[in-house]
Amino acid sequence: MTTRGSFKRVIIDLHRSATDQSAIALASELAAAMGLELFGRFIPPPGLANLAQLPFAREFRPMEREWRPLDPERTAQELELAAAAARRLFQRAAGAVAQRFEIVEDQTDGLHPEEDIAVLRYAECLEESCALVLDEALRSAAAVLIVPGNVRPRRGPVIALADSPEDPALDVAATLAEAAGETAMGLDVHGRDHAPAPPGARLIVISRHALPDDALPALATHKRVPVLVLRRPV
Amino acid sequence: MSDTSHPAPLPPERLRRTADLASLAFQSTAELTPFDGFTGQERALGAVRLGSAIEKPGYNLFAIGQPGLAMQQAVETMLREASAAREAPPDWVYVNNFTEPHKPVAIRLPAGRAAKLGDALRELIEDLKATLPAAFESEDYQKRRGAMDEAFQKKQAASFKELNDKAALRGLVLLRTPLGFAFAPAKNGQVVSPDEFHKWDEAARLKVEEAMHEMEKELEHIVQQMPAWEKARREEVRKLNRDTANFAVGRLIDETKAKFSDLPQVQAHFEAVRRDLVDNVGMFVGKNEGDEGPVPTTLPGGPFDRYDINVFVANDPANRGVPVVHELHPTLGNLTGRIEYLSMQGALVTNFRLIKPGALHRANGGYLLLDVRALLAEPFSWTALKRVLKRGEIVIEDASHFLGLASTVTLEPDPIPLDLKIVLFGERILYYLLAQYDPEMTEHFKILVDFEDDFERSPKNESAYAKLIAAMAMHDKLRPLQREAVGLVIEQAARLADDSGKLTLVTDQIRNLIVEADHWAAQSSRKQIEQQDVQYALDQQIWRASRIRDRDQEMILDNIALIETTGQHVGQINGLSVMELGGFRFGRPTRITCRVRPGSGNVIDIEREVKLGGPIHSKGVLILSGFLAGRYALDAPMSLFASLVFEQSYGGVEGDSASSAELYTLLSALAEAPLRQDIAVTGSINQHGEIQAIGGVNEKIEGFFDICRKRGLTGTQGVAIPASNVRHLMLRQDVVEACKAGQFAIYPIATADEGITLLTGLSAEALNSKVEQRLKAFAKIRQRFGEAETKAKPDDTP
Repeated sequence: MTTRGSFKRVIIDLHRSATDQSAIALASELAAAMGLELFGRFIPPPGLANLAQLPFAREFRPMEREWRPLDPERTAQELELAAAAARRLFQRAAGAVAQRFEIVEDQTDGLHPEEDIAVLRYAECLEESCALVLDEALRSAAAVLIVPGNVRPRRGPVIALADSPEDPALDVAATLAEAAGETAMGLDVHGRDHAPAPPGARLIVISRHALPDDALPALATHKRVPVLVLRRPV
Repeated sequence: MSDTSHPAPLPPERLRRTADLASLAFQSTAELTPFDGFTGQERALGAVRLGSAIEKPGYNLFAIGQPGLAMQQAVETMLREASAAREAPPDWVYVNNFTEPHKPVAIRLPAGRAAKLGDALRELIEDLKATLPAAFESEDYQKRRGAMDEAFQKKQAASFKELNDKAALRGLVLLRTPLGFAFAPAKNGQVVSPDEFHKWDEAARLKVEEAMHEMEKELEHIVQQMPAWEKARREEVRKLNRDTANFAVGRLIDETKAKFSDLPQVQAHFEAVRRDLVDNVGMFVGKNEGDEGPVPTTLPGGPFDRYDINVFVANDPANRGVPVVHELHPTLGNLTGRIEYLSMQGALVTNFRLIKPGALHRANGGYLLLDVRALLAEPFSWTALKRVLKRGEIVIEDASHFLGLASTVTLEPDPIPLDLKIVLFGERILYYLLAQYDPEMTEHFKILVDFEDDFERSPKNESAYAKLIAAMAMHDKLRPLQREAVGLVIEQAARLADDSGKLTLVTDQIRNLIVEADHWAAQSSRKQIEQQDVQYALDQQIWRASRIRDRDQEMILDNIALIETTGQHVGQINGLSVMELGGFRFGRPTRITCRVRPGSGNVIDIEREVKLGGPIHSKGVLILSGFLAGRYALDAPMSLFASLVFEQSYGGVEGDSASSAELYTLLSALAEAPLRQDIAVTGSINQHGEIQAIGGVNEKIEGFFDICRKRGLTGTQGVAIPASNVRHLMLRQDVVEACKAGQFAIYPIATADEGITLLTGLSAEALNSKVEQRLKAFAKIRQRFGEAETKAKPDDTP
């Protein structure tokens, strides 16, 4: 069973979200509140190096509105620059929290499914069913922080949506509320299929299966509140 | 037998006119009803009444008179009384111009409403600070906003998914590169390696390449659509924000607006506030996507200051009467208002809240009193005032921008309509100079308020003056003056008027005298001011100011400055002059001498020759020459060379009051008739030998008297004055007493003949005969010399 003591890292993938400073800031805030390490990963697009070696390979650059041939050397340089930029942005947004940045080749490299909290930006799951993306994320992490689009830092209670008094969401929410100087609120969602959280919450903590999977990303995006989903054996 | 009689000395009662308070029965001023009007100024006060009654442009007032006339007090009192029943003028506020922030809008409000409008707006903003965030935190807003974001993101995501699916069917995969997108040949979802790709046959490679080209077009199409989608999303968000803000602010604004439903300009401003609030709701709820944010020109101040108002002019409707403002320091800024700046990050910034009113704004609807000397001394102020009067509205002007000293962005506030009267105060010379050199002056100041310096000294007016003295004592909380003290003060008022038949209206000096007399009365523990206190105060005033006079008299008494007060001398006389230093005047004798010899008819004024004589002095000497020529040189050319000089005079000499003395000296020198040194002489002369009035007669007499007294009065000493100056005599009491005792005498002289008789003891005929003989002798000598020179040198050179 997941408890607050079992988490070690908050992981955020920067190749897709380095420019989303609010997501990094939220991840950093969560890491600081729980005393965890913030781990930023930059994963170069798989297969890009192969493509760059093909003679007709080219890329479309939206900013320049033109096609440019892909060159292996230049592509490598640009990836390097992108990684460096991601690192700089990550460090700036992360602030003083304990942090680490790495360039990894594979999505699953170095993950610890029992210790990691993964950050999932809502925008990342739009191409697929969010429930599926969440499910996949929870296979390689102990918890997932769903960050809605246009989230803004706000004050308010940390709300635990719990389906029983033993629900670990209550314990985690209490920890986070104490660290943030907020109040913790527990709301019973037993037998419900939607969340009753009041507006103005700073963070919602919920254990998976307390609500259906597809309700969880919606909870974040409709209320524009980050949601921390804890994996829990059924 | 020739007539050697001369005018008799004046009787003592002609030397000083005592106050006649017979028509007023009182022992002290405590018994008098203080006079609260302005004695003797009917002309000026009539002008003030007229000027304040005519409500047309240009009918402003220009009050002129001597300093110390209490003109401002008189005018201010009259204006306040005349406007006491009028309603307070309107309030003015400046509000932000949301469309053109550099042009703040001026709004006129009934008196007392400006502060209420300010309070209402501040209360509104405070309410909005709570209401607006709540509206934007509401479940409804958050849901709608979240749905918009989700719909947008889904639309984007769906487009790419569809593209990806199509690509997969064509054996391709869409990759994100660091700076864009690219299609790659794929197998089982993975990008084909270059080695494997090169193993494909030509047809397969071409097929992939062709598929990539087709897919690239679709990708291009999607990417090109993205900015439009984003724009549409932002529009939706903005509309949602506006709707939410409109809903939240609508009721509050309507409630506040209703309190000012009688003021259309205020209603319009509330509508502008509503529009701006909706446009800049981000200020209240944190910057939302789609919000424009506050306009940066609202700096300095907090973001909500843009909705505040600048209570520019506030009047209290409970106070009847219009403002009467006296601006003591009429700089351009103090006059027309100014725009202040704050330094922010090295730049000077301002906004409508930093517009400060000037005296013109504060006095608008009433009267503005200005000292014209102070006004003219301030750069730009006079011309700015004329511009305001010409335009009929008050425009705030900034001198630093005129001069190009400041290049900061500034404001152009709405001008405020001018509705006031300006009253300028100043000396006469300033009015006359302006009238002569500035044609606009009379256009804007049509009413001249000319204050009298003095008024007739009749028994009735003396009684009025006594009441004026009572008013001064009461106003300054002084002890009452005893009847005799009042009499002495009135006599001093006549002395200050330089005329025993007038009383000065320069009441500042009279007030000073009473205040000081009160002090000396207090020192002597008297409950009332007595005559001796007034006399002591006068003596002290003279003593404090007379250091130079005393040193001057010492020089004479020590025979450093040569002045004889006994005996007789040919060609030497004691003239009298007056010096004025720091407002203190004193007379002093000056020795005037003359030497004669044959010559070509010139009377040389040595003072003029060495440029120590002023034009009026020189004029006097030339008149003297005219007199001589008219009387003595009728049958022969004037063959005289005479030199006249003020002995031991090292400064400039001005005025013609010594011209009679100079004539006597000249006649004495010509006739070789000695002049009395115990008689000092003053008076100017005309070409007919008439003696004319001069100024400062009292001081001149007293100056000679002081020297004689200190040397010991002989009983023969005195002063010859023009007969026309007798009415000006208000001599010191000690001089009067000496004359009464026969120790000193004042002789009124009407003609040169009277004067020369007094000074030489010869009749005019006898003296004129001697002069004639001497001149003829000079003519003969000159004739002889002329003949001899003609023989020696045909081209005669003098």
